[in-house]
Amino acid sequence: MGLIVSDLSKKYGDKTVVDHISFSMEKPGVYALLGTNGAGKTTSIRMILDMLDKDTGTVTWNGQDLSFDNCNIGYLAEERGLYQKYQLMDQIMYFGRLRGVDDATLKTKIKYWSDRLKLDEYLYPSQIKDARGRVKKVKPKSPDQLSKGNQQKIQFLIAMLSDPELLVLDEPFSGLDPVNTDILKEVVREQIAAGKYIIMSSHQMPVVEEFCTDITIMSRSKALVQGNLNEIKKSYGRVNLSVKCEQDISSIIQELGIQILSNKEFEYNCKVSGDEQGNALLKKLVEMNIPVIRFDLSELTLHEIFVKEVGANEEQQ
Amino acid sequence: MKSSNNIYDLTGFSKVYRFTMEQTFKSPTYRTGFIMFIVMAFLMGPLTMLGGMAGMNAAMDSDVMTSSDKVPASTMYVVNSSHVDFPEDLMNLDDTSFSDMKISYTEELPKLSSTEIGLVVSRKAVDGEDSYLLETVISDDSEITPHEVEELSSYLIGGFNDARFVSAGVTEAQTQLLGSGITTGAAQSEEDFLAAKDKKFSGRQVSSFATVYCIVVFILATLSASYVINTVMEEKTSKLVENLLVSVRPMALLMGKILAIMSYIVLVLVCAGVAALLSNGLTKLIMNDRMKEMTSQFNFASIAEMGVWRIIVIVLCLVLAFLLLSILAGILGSACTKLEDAQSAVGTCTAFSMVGYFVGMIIPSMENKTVDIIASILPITSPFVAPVYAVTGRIELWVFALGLLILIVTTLLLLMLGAKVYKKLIVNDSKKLGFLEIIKLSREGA
Repeated sequence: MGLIVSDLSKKYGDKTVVDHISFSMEKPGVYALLGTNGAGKTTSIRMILDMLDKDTGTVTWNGQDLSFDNCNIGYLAEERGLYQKYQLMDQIMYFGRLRGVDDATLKTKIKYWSDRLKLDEYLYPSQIKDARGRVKKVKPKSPDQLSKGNQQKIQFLIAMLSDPELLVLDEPFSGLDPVNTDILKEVVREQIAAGKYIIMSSHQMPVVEEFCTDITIMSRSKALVQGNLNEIKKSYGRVNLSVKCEQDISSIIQELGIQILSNKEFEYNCKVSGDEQGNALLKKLVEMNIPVIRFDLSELTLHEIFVKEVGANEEQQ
Repeated sequence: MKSSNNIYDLTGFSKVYRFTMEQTFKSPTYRTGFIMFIVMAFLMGPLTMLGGMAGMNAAMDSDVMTSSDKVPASTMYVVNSSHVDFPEDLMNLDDTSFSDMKISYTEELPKLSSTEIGLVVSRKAVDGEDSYLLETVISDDSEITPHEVEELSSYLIGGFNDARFVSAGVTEAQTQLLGSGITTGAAQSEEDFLAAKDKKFSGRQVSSFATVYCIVVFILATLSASYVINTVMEEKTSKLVENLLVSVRPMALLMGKILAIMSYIVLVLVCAGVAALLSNGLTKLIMNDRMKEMTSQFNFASIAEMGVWRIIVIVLCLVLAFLLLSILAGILGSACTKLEDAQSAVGTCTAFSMVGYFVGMIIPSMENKTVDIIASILPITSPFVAPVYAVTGRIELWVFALGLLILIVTTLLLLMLGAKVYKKLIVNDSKKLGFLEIIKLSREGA
């Protein structure tokens, strides 16, 4: 049964911020909520998690209204926050206890995730030798001494403490350096393999493409494009052509009415109308005995779909 | 919608309470405040005693006879024609500022030098009745002031009284009985006298009690409001609340904080009370009898003498006042969107407390029954007024009960309002909402 979000709407005064959004996750995987800033992604997430009252709609988890009473939820909010004056370990324990994890399990989990996310030095006291060779105990850093990326990792750790079955990640990779992005990606992959339900909101399209099976692209509070990512891509056809030859073929490409987007040392990126036009070019190159080093006819990228759909919608508005 | 819409669900409250308490005691600011308060309570007794001793010493120094400065009197010539034997030992000048002065009995008063005094004791008829006269004389260039001599002659009256009883053949025991004092009470108004006779509280006593009680409630309310608003704002502006709300419901979050800070304040007050009692006891142990009388006014044991029901009434009203203002603070805090808004929210809560505080301080002196009743049942003033009037018997039981009922209902209504709007406000990032907008929001349904 999984997660079913049905007809979610929210208005602030006369302004509609979420307009009848529906989607479902019948099996584990990653569902992406995409959209421009202010499209209504975070408001939708808040309503799904019952932080905000819905004007219309329901959110069910295995047939029951979703709440933390019947679903073990982990949440990484878009805007990261920690108590700046309290010790990190105290805060993590607090959040873990609130999620119903007992202290002994919590300590084990914190240690595990601290190792995985490379957070040990921020959570546990360490020992250093001073100039005279004496061993000194160094207190872990306080939250206000942490970088934004490390604060984000702490929050991710908090979200993972209860081993959640539904993980909601709002912009999980923003602000992370490449090393930490890879660490987090690895964890997300593990969670997918472990059969978790993940809702992810992100502006980083390559990341979404890497993980997500289903998407909703939102613009100005509405769902513009929705469904299985592969099917969506298929529906736009294979229109991206990348050709590399050992000689200039620009005249042949133009003869067939194909648009050249870029050309660098006989390597062409083109836009075709579909498989037919692409195949026609390949046929002609073969007939003319022109050696082809690479011929790649592919679907639109998610980035392109996003820009195309959202751009068109923005123009209409 | 099952429990997800149960806005009054307090699951997780105890964890919020525990965490808030722990962090409050880990905070250097609150820990220092706690210690300072207790130290102040402990030192209050001894410091007051020291102040009192200094005042007493100053008073003793200003008394000519008991002053440590000696009066420059070398000899006192006594000319006694009264037929009452007035020996030197009955003059009792040993522990006075005249202790160095010699006493010389003569028939005639000699020419006095600047350091000599003449004492003429005679018997004269005053208004047709036989009487004694003690006259003191000093030279024109005397180093002894007329005031010092007057004080001396007043002091000698006591000794002369004893002397004339001895001359009349009265025994020592009889002399003591005749000379024993008659005590008068401190001047008091008819109202105080009658109130004391009927074992009731006078208007002045009610006013004094109201002043102390109102100050305590005001400090409690202002402290808690400020704390609640700041913590609510911290969680809201840092977006921490979003992480919290996937584990705990808004009401449990708010109440956990409120009750934790109430526990902190109550703990401070209890510890300060114990410290004061301890200090008072120790101070009494080391002080002399005269000082004991003086410090008896700082007897904290008088709280226990109030009786159980009075203490229950006061504690109940204190808790209700605290809850009322803290819930209000929580709602106002959640309506803020910037840290600067917190200042105005604290100001609003302080203004509410101020109204109760001033009404509670002023109306006891008005002695108007209608005003007393209105102030005792209005929820904004009743936490300040009703308990004072109830324990001093100034309002009837039904008025207090009605006021208490209205206060409980108001607190519950505010709690329900808080439950309805806190969830809406705490994740609201737009502009700060006013109180009327909050009320409007509550009507939109939970």
